[in-house]
Amino acid sequence: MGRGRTLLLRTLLASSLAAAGPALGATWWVSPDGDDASGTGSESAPFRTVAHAAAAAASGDTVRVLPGAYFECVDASAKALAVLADAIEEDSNDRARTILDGTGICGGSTCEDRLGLACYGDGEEQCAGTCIATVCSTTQTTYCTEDADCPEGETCTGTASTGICSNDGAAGCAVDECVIPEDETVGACRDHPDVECTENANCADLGCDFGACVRIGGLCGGAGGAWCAADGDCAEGTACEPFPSVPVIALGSGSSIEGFTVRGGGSSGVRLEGSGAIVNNWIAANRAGSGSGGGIAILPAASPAPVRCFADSALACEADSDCVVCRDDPTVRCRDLRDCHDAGLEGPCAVLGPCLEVTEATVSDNSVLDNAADAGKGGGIHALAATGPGTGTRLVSRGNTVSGNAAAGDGGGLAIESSGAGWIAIEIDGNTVEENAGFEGGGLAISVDDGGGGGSAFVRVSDGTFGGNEADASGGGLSVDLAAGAAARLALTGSQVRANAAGGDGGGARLAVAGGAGSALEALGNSLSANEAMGSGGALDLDLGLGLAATGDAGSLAVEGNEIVGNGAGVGGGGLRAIARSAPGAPAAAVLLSGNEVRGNVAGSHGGGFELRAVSDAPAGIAASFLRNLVADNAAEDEEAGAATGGALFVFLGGTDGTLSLDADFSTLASNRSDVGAAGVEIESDTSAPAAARVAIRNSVLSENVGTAIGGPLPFEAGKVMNGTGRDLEVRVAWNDVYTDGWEDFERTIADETIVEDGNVFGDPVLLPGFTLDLCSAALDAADPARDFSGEPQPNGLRANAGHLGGTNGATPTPPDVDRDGEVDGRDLVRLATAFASSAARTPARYDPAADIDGNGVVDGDDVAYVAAFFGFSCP
Amino acid sequence: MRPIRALLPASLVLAALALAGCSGTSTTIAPEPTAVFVPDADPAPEGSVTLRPGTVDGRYFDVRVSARGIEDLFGAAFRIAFDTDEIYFAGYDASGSVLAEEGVTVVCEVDSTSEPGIVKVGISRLQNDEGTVPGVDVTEDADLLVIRLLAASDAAGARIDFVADYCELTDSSQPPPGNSIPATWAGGSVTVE
Repeated sequence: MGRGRTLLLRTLLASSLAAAGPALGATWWVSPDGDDASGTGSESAPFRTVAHAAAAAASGDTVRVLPGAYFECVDASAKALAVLADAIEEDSNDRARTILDGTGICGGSTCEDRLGLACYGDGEEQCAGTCIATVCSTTQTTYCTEDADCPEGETCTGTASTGICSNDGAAGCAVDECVIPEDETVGACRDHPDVECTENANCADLGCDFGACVRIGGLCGGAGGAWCAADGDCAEGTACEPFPSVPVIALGSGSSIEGFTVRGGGSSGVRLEGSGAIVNNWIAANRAGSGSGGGIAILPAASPAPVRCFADSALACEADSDCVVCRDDPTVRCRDLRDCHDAGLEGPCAVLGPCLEVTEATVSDNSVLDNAADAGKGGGIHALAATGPGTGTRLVSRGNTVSGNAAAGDGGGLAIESSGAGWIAIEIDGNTVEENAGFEGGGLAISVDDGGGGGSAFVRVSDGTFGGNEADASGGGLSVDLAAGAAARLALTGSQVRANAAGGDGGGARLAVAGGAGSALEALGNSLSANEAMGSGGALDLDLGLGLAATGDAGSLAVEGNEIVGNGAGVGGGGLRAIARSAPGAPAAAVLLSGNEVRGNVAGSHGGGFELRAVSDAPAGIAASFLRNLVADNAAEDEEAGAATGGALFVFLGGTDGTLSLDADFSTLASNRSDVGAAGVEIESDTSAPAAARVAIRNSVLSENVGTAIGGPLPFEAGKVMNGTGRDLEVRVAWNDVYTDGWEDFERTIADETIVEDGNVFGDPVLLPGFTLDLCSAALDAADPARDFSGEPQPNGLRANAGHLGGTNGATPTPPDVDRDGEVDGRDLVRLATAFASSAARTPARYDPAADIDGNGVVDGDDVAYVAAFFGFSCP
Repeated sequence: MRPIRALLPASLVLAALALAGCSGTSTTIAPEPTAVFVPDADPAPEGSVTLRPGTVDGRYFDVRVSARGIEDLFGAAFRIAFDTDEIYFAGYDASGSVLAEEGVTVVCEVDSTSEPGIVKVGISRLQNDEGTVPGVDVTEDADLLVIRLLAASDAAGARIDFVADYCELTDSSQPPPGNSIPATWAGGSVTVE
């Protein structure tokens, strides 16, 4: 099942939803020059409002809207419509010319000194800018700065009484006027009394300076009344009646909207119920009222969704077997690859199922700016999915800019929630999520909970930028929580996560998976810098929890190829904290921390670079690998108590059953520091029989850490975790270069009680600025002789180097010192020459292994070349 | 660190300057200074490797690393030291090495940069797969290689010496690494006149 499920996952997260294309039905035209009463909705006789066109349309129709501003709330939630802004047909970037504005009608926000003018955000600057109030001569509502902005035949000559603020093109403003008192010749601008004027032109270029952006209160006396923020704005005895908060436009399942500016919504800007596509819009200055989703809200459909193969919604099905097809031709069903070959196809037999009622929503290429969910989740975007048995939901957010949004709840920028025992696939790809604020997940929050019903959840966050977001709780940039008993898989890949802050754990990101067999949590190839967590996990906080599983597929937590630099945590894991937990009956768990560069991070309690915790209550145990990591210049610093430990890596192994193992191999830990204890690797354990803890540190360089290289808790120290009963902690330290330059190599408790040493060297590794080895390094050829060295560049000394580059093509070559006198000189050349052309196979009597520098069994010209390349080399 | 494989430059031809004044007077040009190398051991003893004077071209002078009375000479490793305030390394030429007799392939590496003032040399015949390439029997003076040096204009009695503990001759005996051949090593001094 594992392989098939893996194939399914790749397909789930690779296939894309085609935006709902043009409907196949009629097209209804809307224009600022149209007329709802006399118009027919044709291109020559358009309607005036989008709402009227939506009412006239049937599911499957297109509503095509010409450029202009439309002040209305549109309820098309019972139909599947394609709502398209005509302006983007010529220029896909031209979203500012077709405006759906719900300010004062659907709720939203306005400038406090100019009620009725839409704005977004909370600062006065949102109501500032230069007022562009020139309009095309005929249409009168199309803003322009030159004739080319207008339809053919029109000129940019008209002057509107209201305009658009130049700083963003979305906030409205009024053209200032010169007010000259009677009998005077000089006056002052109406909106800028400090500016003298003699004519309107003197005031025309002044800013839209209308104060703060405030939530619209209502209308005096209700519908038809004047704007008001409070009762005091109305005539005596007249109350400021609150606006109904509705979306600017509500769409039904199967709908799409493309090319609009949407602003001024009181209960979201765009609301979509069920499947659909929201593409290439500018959605700003909307509010979610008392709900969630300030800019965009996606809700489950009221009616059942079409039955499709979950990984390819274009494929109809009646049973799961209908979804097992040849990848190259989905019309061909198969059982395995041979069936596809028999049909003349090359590709694999792909599992695109199961067969479910599939809801699929895509939000792509939008700018979602300065929206807010004052009481709920998802300041910019909120999506809610409810999946039961036999149903599935796919949610895609791709290429959006989500910035400056705020939520009282989770997900300042985006929030996605899913509950139920069905299938959920969430793809967050290529988004820029910046400067948002929320409770959990300042930029993005995802929560999936199957309620113990055995659902399946697949989430991938890829190639995004998360910057400057803030979370009151955990996950400054993003927070993802998956709980799915059947399978839960979460990946964060290829993303930039920088300068986010969390009041709890995970300054950059907090990722948690609680699942059964085959559950996986991955962080691959990301760059995380300058994030801060008040709790643990300055850049990343990862938590894999495995529960009871019917099958035995292992769960996995993998952190590979990340750059984690300059982050901070108040507690543990200045760079990252990784936790793996196995409940009784859980499958085996594998933790892989590999190929990461972790530098310059700080933790206030333990684990300046890494904190790794593994707790097993299951017989299968947890196996952790720490491989080829560069961990340098990190610090465990407690400025008050001075008791922080584990400058580079802090490891805690605990539990009641199973073997907890950490294999630290081919890594470089350099120049880390701690207040007390080990500045390299601090090992602590708390196991009770039959659980056992095993730690091996091998083939690594531990250099110039300010503190002992490897250590454990000091004996009889209150609050410290000791070894369990008996000798259930074994620490093996072998084939390393341990260079502590004045400190103890191994802390006494570890050294006396549990350590097993073999083949270590204690010389200066002479690390160069890039943490590569100098040619005179004691770590050259210091790794276990049995380890593969073939990946190292020649001459490799026929043995791997210690450190994170040992055994790889990035390893430092070994000077070909044939006679082992510390120099490559004439004596090496002569010795090689006397053995030249000898072969281990053909002339074993005269074969000189020392002269066979590349170890290929022959002393040949390559060996001469190596000596030539290094001729004259010597170490001081 | 990479060895310099430069061959000797072609001999410089000094242009003689002659001026004839219309008034009939003449100008005397001072002659170019000339380096003079004086070996310590002259003649070279049997069983020795010594520095011998070679071609001179003003302050450029060749020093021949020359063997005498050595049997079965297969390879040599040695270092030559001098004061870099007075002597500069300018190249070498191994094309006429006695080790290349009878067309045997010779490998030669020279390093002059890893330690200023020290020229490290390795020169040897290459063995064949049967191990039957013999060494060379050197009776009269025969050059291993030629080193070109430049003397500072004020070099007076500057020493050029072999560095003890780094000079070794090897014979052709098999199996490798062969046997060391005992020898006397002697340098010399140079003056600019």
